[in-house]
Order: sequence, then structure tokens, then C-alpha cells
Amino acid sequence: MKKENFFLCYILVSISILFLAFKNNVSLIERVIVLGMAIFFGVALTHHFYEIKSSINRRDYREGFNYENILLIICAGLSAAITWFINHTLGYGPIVANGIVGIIVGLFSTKRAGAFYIASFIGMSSQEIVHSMTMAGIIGMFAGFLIIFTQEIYAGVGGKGGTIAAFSTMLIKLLMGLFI
Amino acid sequence: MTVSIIVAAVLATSLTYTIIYKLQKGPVLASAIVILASGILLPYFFPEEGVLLASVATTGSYAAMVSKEKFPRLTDMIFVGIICGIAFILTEEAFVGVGGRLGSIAAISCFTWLGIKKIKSRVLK
Repeated sequence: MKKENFFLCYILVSISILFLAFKNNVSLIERVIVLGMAIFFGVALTHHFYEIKSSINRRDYREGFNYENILLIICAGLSAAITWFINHTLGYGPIVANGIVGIIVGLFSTKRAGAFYIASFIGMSSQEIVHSMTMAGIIGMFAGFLIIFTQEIYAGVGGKGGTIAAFSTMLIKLLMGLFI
Repeated sequence: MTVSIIVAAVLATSLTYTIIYKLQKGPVLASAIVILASGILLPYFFPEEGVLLASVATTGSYAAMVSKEKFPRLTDMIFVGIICGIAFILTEEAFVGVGGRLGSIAAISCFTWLGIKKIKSRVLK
């Protein structure tokens, strides 16, 4: 899959949220604000696309399936599963669970902390969306794969991880719904 | 309620940004500290709206995990925080229960502020 397609997938997540916001808010002022946000979002996104265009299709040595990346994918799955466990099984809730996992990965894994932290967002899902710890782990592994292959997309902007997590969760849930 | 949501978002973005760039801690640790503190303290001090405010603070904290090249000043984070609070209110019913929802709202807020800055710089040129 080309990286441009991943870029489109990320945009799809953001646009879906803006579209739902537009649909759910009935007052004129709220809709105007959502539209305004969508316009400014579009302007910044176009600029961001041209900014990363040259690097987006460059083959990066870090993107191959080497030992380090396979380990990252497995650890991302673990991070999501542990967050889900703290959130639902121990009952601490999504925010505290994410905070605990974030502090642990931030203290002990400085190099790949971002990747594990992103995967941790998946464990914040409700039980209606992510039914089990295993499912959280599988989605976490998919997110780990996305993190490796889409490093430039949304780089330097807060919320990149959330977009990856939301996309991974929705996609795997959709696929599981089709085949299981 | 709207005001307290925006205040929580602004405080979270500013605090996370300060921990990252003034205290020189990594973005993950900075964000996790703010999230854990808000997740424990806000529901304790504000029993009714604490959980909601903690979610807002979490969104703000994700939004502050930015690069200094794109968001060089703390003022940027204050505006991102305001947009974040407004976006949180407007998207309350979107993607409920999906992990990464708050981060996605944070990304929209950051890009919205970047878009405003871009248009402002073109108009003032």
C-alpha cells in the first residue's frame, strides 16, 4: 500500500469526526464553527502534504521487517493489551490506565516510548468497541505496523498517535465484523 | 461548563508543553504525567464534572505533543488549547468509545491552529 493511501486514511479519520460534529450539532453557530475548523484544517493539511511529499515515497532503511521493528510491533500489542487490562479488568478507567502505561514507557523506553504510548490509546476503547484484551493486542500490533510505515505523516503535530489508534481500531473492528 | 472545559484544555496544553520544552522531559512522559494527575485529581476535586474535565485535559495533553518547529511558542499552545476545548464540545458524540478519539480531536485542533496561522501570514504579507 502506498504511503499516500495511509495519508488519505488518516485524513478520513479527521474528516469523519468533523462530519459527525457537523451532523450532530444543529445550531447555526456550532455548524459555522465546525465548517471554519474544517476549512483551516484543510489549509494546514494541504501545506503538510506538500511539506512531506518528497519524503513520503522515499524508501527508509528503518521501515523493513527487521528484528527491531518486529519487536516494536509485538511490544505495541502488549502495550495496548496492558492498557485494556488496567482499564477494564482492574477497573481504573481509560485515563488512569493510559497515564500509568505512559509513565512506565516514558521512564523505561525512551527510544520507542512514542510507539508504545500510541498503542496504549487502543486499550482506552470501551468494551463495546474492543471486546477483549486479545483484540486490543491485535489492534495494537496493527498500530505498531502503521507507526513504522507512516513516520512522516502528521509528524510534529499533536494527536498523530490518536489518529493512528482510531484508524487501527475502526479498521480491525470492521474486518473482524466481516470475517468473525 | 463551556468555560471550564476550555480552561482545562488550555491548562493541559500549556502544562504539557512546559514540561516537554522547559523541563526537557520527553513528550510521552510529560503527557502521561498530566493525564495521570488529571485522571486522579479532577474526579476527586470535582465529583460531578471531574471525569469530563479529565477527558478534556487528556485531549489537551495529546495536542501539546508537538514539535517546536511547528509550534515555537507557548502562545501557540494556548490557542491550540482553546480550539481543543471547543472541538471537544462540538465532537462529544463522535467516535464515542473508540480508542484514539481524543488524540484525533487533538490532531484536528493542532491542524486548525496551523491553518489559521498560515492564512494569517498570507493575509499580513
